[in-house]
Amino acid sequence: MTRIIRSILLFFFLVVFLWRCKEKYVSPYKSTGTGYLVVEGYITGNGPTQFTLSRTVDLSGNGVIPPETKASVQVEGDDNSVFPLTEQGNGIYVRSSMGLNTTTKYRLRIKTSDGKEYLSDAVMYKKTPAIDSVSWTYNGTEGIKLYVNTHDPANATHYYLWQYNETWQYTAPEQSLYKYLRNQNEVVYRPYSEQIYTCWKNAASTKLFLGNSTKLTQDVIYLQQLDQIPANTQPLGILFSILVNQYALTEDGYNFLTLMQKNTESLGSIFDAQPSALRGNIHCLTNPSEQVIGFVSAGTLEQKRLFIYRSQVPDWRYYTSCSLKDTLVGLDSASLIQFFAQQSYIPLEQHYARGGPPDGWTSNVISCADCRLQGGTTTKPDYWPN
Amino acid sequence: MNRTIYYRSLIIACLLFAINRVHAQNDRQPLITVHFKDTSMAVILKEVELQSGHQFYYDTADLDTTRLSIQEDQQPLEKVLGEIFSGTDLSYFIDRQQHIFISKGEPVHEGLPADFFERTVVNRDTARTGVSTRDDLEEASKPQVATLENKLYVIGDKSTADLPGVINLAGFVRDAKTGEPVVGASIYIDKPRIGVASDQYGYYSISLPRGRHILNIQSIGMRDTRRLLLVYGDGKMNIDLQTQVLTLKKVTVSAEKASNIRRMEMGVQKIDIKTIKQVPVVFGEADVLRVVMTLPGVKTVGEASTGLNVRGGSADQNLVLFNDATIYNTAHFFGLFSAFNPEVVKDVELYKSSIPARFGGRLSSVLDISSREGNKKNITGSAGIGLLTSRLNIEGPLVKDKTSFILGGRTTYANWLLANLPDQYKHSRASFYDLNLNISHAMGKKDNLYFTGYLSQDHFNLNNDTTYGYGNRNISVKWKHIFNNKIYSVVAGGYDKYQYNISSTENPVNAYRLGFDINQLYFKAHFNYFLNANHTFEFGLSTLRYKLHPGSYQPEGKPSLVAPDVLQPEQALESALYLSDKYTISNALSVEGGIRYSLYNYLGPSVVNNYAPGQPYSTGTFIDSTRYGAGANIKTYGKPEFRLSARYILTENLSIKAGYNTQQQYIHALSNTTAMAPTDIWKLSDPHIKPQSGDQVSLGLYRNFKSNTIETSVEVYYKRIRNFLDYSSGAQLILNHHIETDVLNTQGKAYGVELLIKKLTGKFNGWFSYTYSRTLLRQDDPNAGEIINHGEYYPANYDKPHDVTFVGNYRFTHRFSISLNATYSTGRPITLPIGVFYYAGSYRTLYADRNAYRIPDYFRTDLSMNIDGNHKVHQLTHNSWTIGVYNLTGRKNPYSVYYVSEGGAVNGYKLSIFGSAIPYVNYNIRF
Repeated sequence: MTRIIRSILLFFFLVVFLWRCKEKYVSPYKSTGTGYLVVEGYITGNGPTQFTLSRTVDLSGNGVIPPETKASVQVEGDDNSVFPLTEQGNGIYVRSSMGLNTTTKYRLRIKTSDGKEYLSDAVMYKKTPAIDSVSWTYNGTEGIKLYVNTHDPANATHYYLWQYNETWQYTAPEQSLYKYLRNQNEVVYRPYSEQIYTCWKNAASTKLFLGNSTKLTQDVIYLQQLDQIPANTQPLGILFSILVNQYALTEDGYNFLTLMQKNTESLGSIFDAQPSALRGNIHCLTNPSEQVIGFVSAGTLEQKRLFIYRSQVPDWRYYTSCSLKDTLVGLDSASLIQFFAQQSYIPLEQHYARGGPPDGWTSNVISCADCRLQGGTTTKPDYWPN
Repeated sequence: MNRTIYYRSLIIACLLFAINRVHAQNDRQPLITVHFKDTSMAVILKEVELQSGHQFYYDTADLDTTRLSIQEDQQPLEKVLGEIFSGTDLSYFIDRQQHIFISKGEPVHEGLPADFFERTVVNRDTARTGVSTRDDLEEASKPQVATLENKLYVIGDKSTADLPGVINLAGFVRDAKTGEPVVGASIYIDKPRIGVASDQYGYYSISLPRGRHILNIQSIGMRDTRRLLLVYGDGKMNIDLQTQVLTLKKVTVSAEKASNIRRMEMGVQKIDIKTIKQVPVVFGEADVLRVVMTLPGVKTVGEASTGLNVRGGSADQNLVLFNDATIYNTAHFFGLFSAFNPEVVKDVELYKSSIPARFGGRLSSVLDISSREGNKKNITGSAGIGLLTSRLNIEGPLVKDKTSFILGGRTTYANWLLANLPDQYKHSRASFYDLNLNISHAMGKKDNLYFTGYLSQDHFNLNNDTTYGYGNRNISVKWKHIFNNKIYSVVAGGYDKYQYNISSTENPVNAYRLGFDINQLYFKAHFNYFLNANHTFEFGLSTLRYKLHPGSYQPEGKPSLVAPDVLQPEQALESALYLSDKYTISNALSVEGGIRYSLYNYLGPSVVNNYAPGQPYSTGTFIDSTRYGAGANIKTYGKPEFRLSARYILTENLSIKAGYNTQQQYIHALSNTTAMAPTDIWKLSDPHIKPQSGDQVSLGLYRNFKSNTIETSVEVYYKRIRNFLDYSSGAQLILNHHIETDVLNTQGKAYGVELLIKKLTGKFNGWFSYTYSRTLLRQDDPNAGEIINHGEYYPANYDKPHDVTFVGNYRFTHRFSISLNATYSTGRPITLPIGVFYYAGSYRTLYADRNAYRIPDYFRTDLSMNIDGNHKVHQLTHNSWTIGVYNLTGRKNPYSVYYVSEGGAVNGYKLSIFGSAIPYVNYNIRF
């Protein structure tokens, strides 16, 4: 009886309180102001400086962001130094390295192909302290949480931004030792250089990771959380790696990104702040009322890489399997055409009749054996341990 | 019944005695000397009885209040008696045995009417059969009431009867059963038409011409009564009203219930707890604030908010008073419950237009919540059990008829429920409690003392290690003193505190504890002076000392590296002097004029930042700072505030009213969230932050129908708000040492039309309201660095132009009623993205103009059934059930619409707080 009452009460509570109804919403309004220039990048001297230029689009635009091509982009120092960036395509402008120093302020000048000129405020070139460590914790329900730790002995940095790039190794459920040659309609050994069983996948951070130590007595960032790997998922199937980039920011740069974060990542609870207009430090010289999205910051870049082996988390359970059972494909050319040429099957290994000669190819659909179809590449990164 | 028979038999016995012993009347008349001044008739008669040797027979009820002065030397009995009874409706008869029978109206005659014995027999028969129908029971209680109602009260010294002019009658109206004051009772005479209402203490003061009157007393929920008066001079009369427990037969339709026609004020709404309890609310917990939200002109941003937006004002522009104590946070449990225990609340009065001069300090409205005084006769109590909350309330006399207390408490038991939740919510906690203690004490006839203590506390933590807690603490003492019939004073003092804290220990290095509090100490003295029938003055003064700790950030635990960061405390003094006069020019026209001068001093110790003159306040324009010592007067603001209103009665059922008032506000809540959040901070006006000011002009038309059972009104208003504080984009409001750089001065305007149709009596009662209103803000401060929406008017968060509300209750029987509540409103404005861009690995939304769009419209219907147990008066406990459904149609009313970047993509969501129909059940007992 008590149990029943409890469940009824629990039901009420869930209905009422925690299962606040959240539904997809499509705005009936047509958004208007689009086509503003968006500038993302960080001026750095000890690594490649990269700026990505794009444009804002309509809310209902299908997520296709037009890159801003054929612009001229350059970094200017208040010591009259000029460092032009070169266009790499797709709106990306880079320069491998520049001799910058902390006593000079730098700014970014952009001339777009439509003849407009943009200039950022001159910003301090900040020295970013080194990352002390990238650490992690594991528990069975939440998975792995990754953290970054740093400190500035000079107590001068205070505002930090992190980005990361994760890479992990994984395999397809089944290994294909043979390959089918369509022109010859025959099955041959697959050379190791063409292996499609082991892949490496990359994922860059999609959130803004910001931290500050202004409330602390020392300039220390302890256990600033970055990504979280849900328990028993692919990233830790074999070996996982994360490369963390750390950038020092000015207070204004930090506030700009914090507002962007509030506006775009942390809305939705009852007591969240309302979104508000985002103002950066880049201005259109040609048309001063034109809005530009972006904040130019400058400083050194600090990086740190961490590896996590599956063996370090003994109870990580991730298995890959194929939904279809293996099919035996006959050796005759008609079977080969039917399965490998027409139905996208892939030969896995040779099949032998009991105690006898080979009688066919164990095969399965390509998606079961080609790891690349899960988004990775077969190229092993050069930093990857064996 | 039995008593009646007893009295009747007694009278009959006396009469028979008189008839049987017939003697000749004594020839020798004794001479009598009496010298009395303002003495009760009983005393005088006693003296006459002694001197004359006659014996008097009379019903004490006929003359117990009659007081008179008499000077007679050596006069015959009959002359003295003639003198005593002249000017009264009493007459006397002397029989031969020297018995004197005093009676009302017709004198007693010797002999019996022809049908005398028959009538007696009939009466006896009824008594014997002892039929106890309910009507009989009612009948049984009648004689006493009838006696009071038919008794003539003689007030004053009749020697002054011939003087011209009017006299004053004052006293308390009380509930006969519990001894609690009856507020808002109408006390009036018909010819000429003079009426007043009892005030919050049940006190009334009425000016009457000398002579005979029928004084009518009416109050909703109480049985109508009247008193027969013969007034010679000033006097006192307390009136006890009977509760209308069961009216089986009739609905009294009365002229004076037309208080909305005759009342001076406009834009005032009063709801008593009985009505509040009928309105269905979520979880079935009667909620004072939710019911206030159904009134025209009152809006809220959403279901998880108890913040009221009255006539376009923001939530912090309401002065919420609970027995004179200011309540800063009126929400419990994320705003799902209000902070007021319905068992303790007596009624709620909302002033949204004519704010009396005695109130000040907030721009939009005053919500005056008064608590009950507690039963002065017996210990009683009540308890209620709901799904998430329980409440208990005990009241009774400490000293019978003199001192009473009421103690109420509420708590939640949601914690164990949360512990049963799936793992991911398991560590969530949410709880609240509140406690009320009120003591009222009558010290003699002229003094009353009231003590109020209030304590509320909320704790919550939704599955992370950040714990939130907030609470109100209030103590007030009030002393009411009646100098004489015409003047009384109320002196009150108290201490209010609101505090919140947030702490997190998840990360040992960053473990912190954030605290904020407001403390205020106040003193008020209020005087009410009924000069004559035409003028009633109110005047007084008040002073309020603020001390705010706007933020302290402290390390929590040893490993914490958090640097203590404590914002300097703020202190200020807000004082006011006021005077108002209610002037009745004629029966039809009355005006009220009030002036309140408010004076504000921002006091040291403090360090005040200085900025380059003529430049926006920003860290870039900061020059230096000035240090002020303790008690130094840093900045003074002061301004007269005007409160004017007029009423003109066109016909008996139609009146027109107009009002104009101005307000000042020196304390501001800073919030960049839509709902009033528990972490909102309050800021005092200082050299950089000017006081908010506002003025409002309003006009209303009031018309009653069907013998005043249906009240209708239309009110229009236009309001201006100056120096309203808004936040700048990306403002940092918590722990900001230079908050002036993150807020903007905004100007606002609001206007609207409010229509109300109300029926408060009968089987079917309730109200319907429609409001059209707009609230627009504009930020054009040249000193601000940022111009919101290009300096043009934009709608405020709570700008919901159309609002239709229906609240109805239908009583099928005395034990079963159904309440329905339906509300529709335009969706509130929101800021929607105007575009999308790609940044930091994700698509992200771009925002521009504030509040340029609206969320979908809001519609909700609630239904509840109130089932009472049997109504026998004498039983141990009375119980009742409330069963209901909140959001009957299950409509997913959006609370907000928002876009969020998740996994690199932008997704739009519509969030509803209650996305389905919510059933509830509540069990209440009274003992």
